[in-house]
Amino acid sequence: MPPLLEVDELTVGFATEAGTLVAVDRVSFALDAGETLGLVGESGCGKSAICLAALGLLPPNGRILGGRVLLDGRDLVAMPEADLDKVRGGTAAMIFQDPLTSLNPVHSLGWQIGEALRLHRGLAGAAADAEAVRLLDRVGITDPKRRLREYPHQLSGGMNQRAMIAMALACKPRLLVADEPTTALDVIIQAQIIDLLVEIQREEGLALLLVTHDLGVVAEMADRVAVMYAGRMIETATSADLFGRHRHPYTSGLLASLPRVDQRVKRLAPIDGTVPWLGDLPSGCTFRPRCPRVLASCAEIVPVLAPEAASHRIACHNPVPA
Amino acid sequence: MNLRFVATRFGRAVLTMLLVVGFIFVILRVAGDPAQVMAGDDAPPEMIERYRAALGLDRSLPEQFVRYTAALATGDLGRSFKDNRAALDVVIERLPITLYLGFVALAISLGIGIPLGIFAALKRGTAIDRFAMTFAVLGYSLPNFFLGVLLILLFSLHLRWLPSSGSETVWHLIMPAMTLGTAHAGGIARFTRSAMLEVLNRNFMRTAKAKGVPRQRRLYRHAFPNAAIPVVTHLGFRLGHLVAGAIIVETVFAWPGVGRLMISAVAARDLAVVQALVLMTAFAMICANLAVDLAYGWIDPRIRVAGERREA
Repeated sequence: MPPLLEVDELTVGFATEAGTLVAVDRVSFALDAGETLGLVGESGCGKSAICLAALGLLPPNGRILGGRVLLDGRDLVAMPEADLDKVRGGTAAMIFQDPLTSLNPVHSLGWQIGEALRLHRGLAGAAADAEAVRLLDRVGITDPKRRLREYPHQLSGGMNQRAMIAMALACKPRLLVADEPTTALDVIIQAQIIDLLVEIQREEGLALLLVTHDLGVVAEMADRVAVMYAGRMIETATSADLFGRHRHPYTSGLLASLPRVDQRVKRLAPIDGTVPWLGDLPSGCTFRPRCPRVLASCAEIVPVLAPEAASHRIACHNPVPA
Repeated sequence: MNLRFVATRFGRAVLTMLLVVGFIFVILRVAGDPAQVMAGDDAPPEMIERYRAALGLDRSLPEQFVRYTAALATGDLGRSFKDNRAALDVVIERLPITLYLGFVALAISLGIGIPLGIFAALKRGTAIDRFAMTFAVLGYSLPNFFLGVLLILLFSLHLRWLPSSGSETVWHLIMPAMTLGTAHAGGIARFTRSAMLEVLNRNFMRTAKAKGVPRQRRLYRHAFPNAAIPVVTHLGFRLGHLVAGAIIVETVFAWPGVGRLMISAVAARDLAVVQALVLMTAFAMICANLAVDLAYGWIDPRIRVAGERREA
């Protein structure tokens, strides 16, 4: 069976005053129903751009320069806007980083959830209200009947994110794209939202594409992890393999820089140097200037994502020994 | 909308009106002797004294203020110096014709301004946007007397299609309403455009798209209600100004409204009528502001339900 979501050589550029910057460079991955893929990397590595591009949500200066995004075998990149409107919020739903600004301030929660129900499922009036109440209850919002008439500014960040999730679930999607869903929330609320997402993903059998820079969240939720650096995917593996047997020097650096509760560490180990600017990427491997294992060939040949084991692929000429 | 919200706004409006009344009272007595002004510069002293007694100016200031406010409350704004009619009546008989022109002009300015602003925002940075904004700047920077005279030259003198002055028929309305309407359309277009641009980039617009809301609906049901908030503010001031009349346009087209009354009353030093006009304009502005405040509450739930408890 083909995967539910297949991203194939996706390339995304942003028009800026300095010319077109390539934010996502020929990225490919697949996602099966019921599976969670964590997309990790530092800010600006292109992980959010992949999600936005996949659903046709790029800002006006963003453009897909190449590649395909197949959902259920249909290419979303080539799809007309009117058909995309049926897919978005239907088969594929998305939740965002900042729930308060992501909800419309002048409409009640009931109105906003009801709109999705009407557009995709043809529900209206009392039937839509009843379904909205069920959805709010489903995501753990207490007193859902009353909340229906409330506005985003009356609710806390965690409540709003739950409402966003309810809205995303409204039309029984098969793919949920979550772009940093917990980043703007308090730590305790983060944990609650993660638990909720895990529970819903299991019960509904959703494919979940989870974008985050929080490796802790990934460890908790993802079946597989893909690590991005400066627009390229540099390592992908199952969660267990990535945390236990990572091979790419950048992934090792990322994991080494994490604080741990089970060890006394005097100082965290940051990765030397800074993320390169997309307008001035180094030749060959883009991680080369910061890499402790750099070879002469790294400057000349761009490493491609090559299979290391059945489900473990890395893009590196001199990987960390297994 | 809750009662407390309406009551607070209403109380504020009443307080503002009282301040205005007090202000006018003080100004009238600071700016010179009203009796002297009314009697004229070369009036004999005993005539001025008679005026003072008739106007109650010989009493103490607090007593004057109480009598003044009490008279205002009963609608007595003094008598016109010109024909001895009640000043309020003189003003009110001019009001319908001014409001007629004002509301038609407002409808024109909204009908042009809002679609133009939305359109320019959607076509931001294109030739269409630049053309629309050039029109807008032209609209509000072209002086009314200039555009008015141009229209008269073209449609009255050259083409002989429209009457140049008066208010008898609908044909008389066209040119003054267009002059006034296009002037305000420019401002409304610019307000609408900037408000729309601000809203279009907000996160909830992306959410609406991610939800599968079609483009037209995203614009009219998601973006516009948010963009309307600053536009309504702007509109409130326009509404207040309507009552004051369009002094220039009314003069150019000999439109017998409040604006022209203001000119003639000031020229004739008809103090009671000027005072009635100022009070009525202030009253209209305060009512317009109150209407805007209430409309805000209706459009923006963040204002309407402010003060209600916020859930953690």
